[in-house]
Amino acid sequence: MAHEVMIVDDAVMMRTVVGNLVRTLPEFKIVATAENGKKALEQLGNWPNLKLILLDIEMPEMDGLEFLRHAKLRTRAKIVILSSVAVAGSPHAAKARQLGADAIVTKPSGAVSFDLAEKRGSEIVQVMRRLAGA
Amino acid sequence: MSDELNEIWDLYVDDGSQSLDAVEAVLMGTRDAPADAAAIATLFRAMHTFKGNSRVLGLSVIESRAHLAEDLVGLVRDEGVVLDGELVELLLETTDALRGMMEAAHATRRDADEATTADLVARMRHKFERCRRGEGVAATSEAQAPPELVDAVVFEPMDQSSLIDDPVYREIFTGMVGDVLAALRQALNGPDEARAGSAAEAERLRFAADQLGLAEWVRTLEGFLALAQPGTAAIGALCEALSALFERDFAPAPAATAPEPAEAVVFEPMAAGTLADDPVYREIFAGMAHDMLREMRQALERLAAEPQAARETLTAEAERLRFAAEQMGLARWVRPLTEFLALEQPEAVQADALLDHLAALFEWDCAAAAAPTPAASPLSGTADGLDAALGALANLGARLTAGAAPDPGEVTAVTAAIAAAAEPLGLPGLSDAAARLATAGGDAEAFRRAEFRFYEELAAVEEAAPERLGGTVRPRALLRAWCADRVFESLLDLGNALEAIRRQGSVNGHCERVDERLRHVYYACRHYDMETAAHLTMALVDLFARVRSGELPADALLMHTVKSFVAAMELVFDAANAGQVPDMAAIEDLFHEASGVAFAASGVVSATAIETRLGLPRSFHKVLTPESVHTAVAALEAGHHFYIVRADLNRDETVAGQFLTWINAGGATVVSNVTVFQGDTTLFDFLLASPLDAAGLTEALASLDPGGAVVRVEMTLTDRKAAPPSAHPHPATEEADAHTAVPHEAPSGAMLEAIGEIVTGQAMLHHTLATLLEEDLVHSVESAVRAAGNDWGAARQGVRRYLEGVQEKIEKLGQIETQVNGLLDRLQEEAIGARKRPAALLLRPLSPLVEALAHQSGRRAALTTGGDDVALDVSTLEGLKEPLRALLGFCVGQSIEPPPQRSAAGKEAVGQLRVTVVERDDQVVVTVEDDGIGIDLARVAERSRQLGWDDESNLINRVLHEQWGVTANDPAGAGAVDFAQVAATLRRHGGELHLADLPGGGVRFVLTLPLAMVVLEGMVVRAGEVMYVVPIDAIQRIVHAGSDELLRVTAGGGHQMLRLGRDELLPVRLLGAAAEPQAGESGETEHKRLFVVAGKQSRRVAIAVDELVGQQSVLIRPLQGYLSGIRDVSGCALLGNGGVGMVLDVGGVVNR
Repeated sequence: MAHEVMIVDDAVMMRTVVGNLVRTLPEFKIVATAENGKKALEQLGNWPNLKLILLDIEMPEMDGLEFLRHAKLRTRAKIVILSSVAVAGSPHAAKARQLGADAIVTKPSGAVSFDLAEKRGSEIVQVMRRLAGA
Repeated sequence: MSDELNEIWDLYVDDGSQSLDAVEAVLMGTRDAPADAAAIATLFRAMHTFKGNSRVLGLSVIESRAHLAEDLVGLVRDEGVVLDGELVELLLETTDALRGMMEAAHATRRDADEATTADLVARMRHKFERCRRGEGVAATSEAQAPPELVDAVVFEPMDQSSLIDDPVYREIFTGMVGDVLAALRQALNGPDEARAGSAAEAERLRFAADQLGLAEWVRTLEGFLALAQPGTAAIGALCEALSALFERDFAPAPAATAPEPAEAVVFEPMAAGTLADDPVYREIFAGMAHDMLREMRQALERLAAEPQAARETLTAEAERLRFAAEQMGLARWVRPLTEFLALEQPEAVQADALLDHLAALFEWDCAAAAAPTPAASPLSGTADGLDAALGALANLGARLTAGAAPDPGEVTAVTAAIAAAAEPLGLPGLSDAAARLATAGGDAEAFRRAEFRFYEELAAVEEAAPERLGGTVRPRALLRAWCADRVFESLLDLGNALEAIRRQGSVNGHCERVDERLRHVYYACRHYDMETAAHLTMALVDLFARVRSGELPADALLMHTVKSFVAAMELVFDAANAGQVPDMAAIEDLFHEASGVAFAASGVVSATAIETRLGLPRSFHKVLTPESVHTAVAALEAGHHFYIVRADLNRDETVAGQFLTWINAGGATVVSNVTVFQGDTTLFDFLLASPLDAAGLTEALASLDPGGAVVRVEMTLTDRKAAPPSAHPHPATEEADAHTAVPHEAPSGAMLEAIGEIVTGQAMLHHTLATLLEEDLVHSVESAVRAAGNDWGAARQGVRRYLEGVQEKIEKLGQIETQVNGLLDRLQEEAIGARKRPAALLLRPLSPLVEALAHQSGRRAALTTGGDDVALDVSTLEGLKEPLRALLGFCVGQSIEPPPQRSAAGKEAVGQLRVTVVERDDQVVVTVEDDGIGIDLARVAERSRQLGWDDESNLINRVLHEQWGVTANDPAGAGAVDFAQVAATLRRHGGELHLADLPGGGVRFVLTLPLAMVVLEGMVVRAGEVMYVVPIDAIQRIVHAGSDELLRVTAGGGHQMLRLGRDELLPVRLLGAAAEPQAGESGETEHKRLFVVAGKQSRRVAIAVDELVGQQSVLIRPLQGYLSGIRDVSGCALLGNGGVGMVLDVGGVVNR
């Protein structure tokens, strides 16, 4: 059975780009998307078997870091920070780690004319597979 | 272009427009009312989203502009910078520009042209720097290296137990407990269905408690969850148990510590005399004492006029101060105050003496506490006045410089205010400088010089005793900014002075002027944080001081150096002023020249010569004074040996003292020393000359510090007599050579250090392993048991001790291995760093190449480049050279039309070519674009049909297929290219080639290569007798498949296919002479075969292998000569077992 994934990002474009990437992977299934931490939190209860959350940091209403605090007490899903501000080694990354994030990946870049999966996407895929044990 | 990409481009504009609208709304709103924190957060987020989206599409120019805007908003959000009118307008302008660039990018699918927003970028950078400086944030912090950033990281599971200490988690959990208890209580009183939900509530809480490490909560809830059908009694019991746990773990502190409502609270008296040690009390006392002393001083001044009232004030203040001092336990204050208060009728002289005494005590006891408050010290009581006077002075100075003729009364008032503010500081130099201002009057030149001197004096006070100036006056920053504002004028004047010296044939009468202008330039360099340029300027100041004292002649070499300095610095400041990074290469050259001037005149070899001759590490470059060089030359002549000794002098005073005593006693001569910062530790590297050889020196240092923790030999230097030093090695020459061959550089100090430590680690590993190998575990255990008369109980203790000893050695092995791995990583980083070269070496030769190609093919073409400063590995540079030349050949010869054709198409006669190099994550991306006709897709479609390739989609990528051959729009023209060959060349270096046709015509080639190609993470596999390394990134999965999963496809020339899952078939690829797996045979003897599924998405193959050896990092070496022709292989690598593996070219295998 495919692993359930939630994507949380305020940018529609980013949700689409990452969604398109995840949809190429048969072992994962996107069950929910949300535009901020608050909406994601509201949906968490609907997905008891959620395996992974791909989470942005900078979002309105409730940002990724605050969501992490709440999510940690509410779900077993592994949380991957997908953000350009929480570059591993940065203070944001340290904070995310402290709050219980399982991994950090830099947002994809340079997908202007070719398959995203061949760019930064491959890193996201690797991390997703590793965390999901796929 | 695919629908998916079109959708993303459309979303880019939708999302981007929303973000920019949000930015504008906030910015426009500030015209009515200041933006609050929420509005600033919205502003930041919107700009951040826009930046991120641009990044996804690879629009690096647009991204960089949005990034700058985000940084500016970040200053407002995080650093307290005010969102003032100027910043609002600048951000609005940026938003407009971003919107335009976004729409253009959507239409053309191209990134924006850097040049169109260069001015905006310069202004944004300038504003950023000003904002940052205004906030008092240091412009640079050279000692602090930025944290190392990586692209992806997966964390180890964290220690959950720490979460319970986090108040936020506590709050969230207590909220959940409240909710769960409420739900359970409702279930208690509700119908049966309500009770059924209690298990879900309990489970929710159990999970949260488990996450927080609350074991007792978990146990309690698990007990409840174990019940098949919990009834009301069980739910009630659970409620009680949870309430009790909540009371224990989360309720407020028990009643014993919670104060009962009381009418009065009586505190225990504090121990006398301890308050003086408390910084808070010291600060309070300092403030009180400051005010009281001021009151007393004023009362003293009134004593003659109003003796009665003044004496009363003096006595009252003295009494209050004595009491405060007693409370503080400051006996030395109490005594003089008590004596003063004992006087029946204190006279002025006694009051004056008391105040002098107290002022001294104040300096002693309170100055530090009072320092943060500008007006806290009586001596700095004029800080506010000085601040205001400086403002007036700066204003006046600026107007005088601009040629204004201010009112003489104003000049007198301002200079008098400055003198009045400077006087109480009691610094003669400052008072003199203030007096010179007054005498300069309205003469602009004299005033300018006096103003500069005054700022310099004031800056010196800040340097030596900042507390005297209070917190708000920052003369150093003021001085630097003042000089930066006038630097072009100073350089012009310096040039004029040099011309006057040349005409006059002597420096007489000009030295002071040259010296002063050089100092202006020096402070301006400091303003822009240009370290090397500042060093150079100080070197010239020093040289002119020597000329002035007759120590040096003002010869042609010196004059030439200073003249070149003026020309070079104009360019440098031009760039700095425009917010660009100045090119410091000329400054570096001049530095060597300047050093040569001093040394040539003193008749000794130059510092550079010594650096070269001893092979000094970079940290010792540019620090050798003439004296150091003299010492080094004497030591060289005496045949001494040279060492760098690292000393942690703060670690152990005794050893540090012994070390310095040993040096003073003649153990070694200190040639020079530099400070090294390692985290919070300050270390010193000494360049020592000693008659002792390496062994002798090591022994001598070991006698001082046997453990080597305080002093140790960092490096043994060799006198390279054979290579006579070149006075001025020319960096430009080095650069020019760099792209034709890998330079053979001396390993850096850090590299040698790492190698040394690895060798030590290896020796320790060897030793520990040897002792372990000598152990015969079975024999030893059996002997011990036998010795105990085969009584296991009796032998147990001894055996246990023995095994623990062995265990300890194994653990030690593990530790050493970890240490060595860390060192290897460091060494690898050093090695990779040493191989970096600027992309300019690749890009610069392309312009003449394009010119020549255009000339040959009757075209006109202009090339622009971007990314000259990107640092690339030398092998990456090499790997890009040939593909780039081939692609540019295609652009010029095939894509860009001849001028008449271009004119007919409404294009400029000159075709535009652009090559940009961008570092993105761990890759270098080179984009080649033109505005010609690109690749003729109609021709591609026709040839596809000829080849029997009927699928019409993705036409442009057909040209990358191995069987395609050469591509040419005009077969008779120049520049036809076999793109598959170009792609194969890139793949050999671990890279890729992508093509895109641009909507408005033209072609874009995107070449990607790994930034550092030296190390590869690979899976080592065996196929037949050959070992191969498959790059980990290319592996999709590994499959163990039987013969029934293999099919032979007749239509595919009998090729084998591997069935993967229900409906996926992958072509099977064999490596070298590996035996083909047998399809369709079944039987008892059948064995499964291993396949590595590699490639990318839809282009995947199953590579048949015989064995998976394991994953490891390998160092790739290029294939030379005959070997370079081996198919499917991009290099070779040394494997962990000492053998050689072939690095698989997965792209080549897939496209075969």
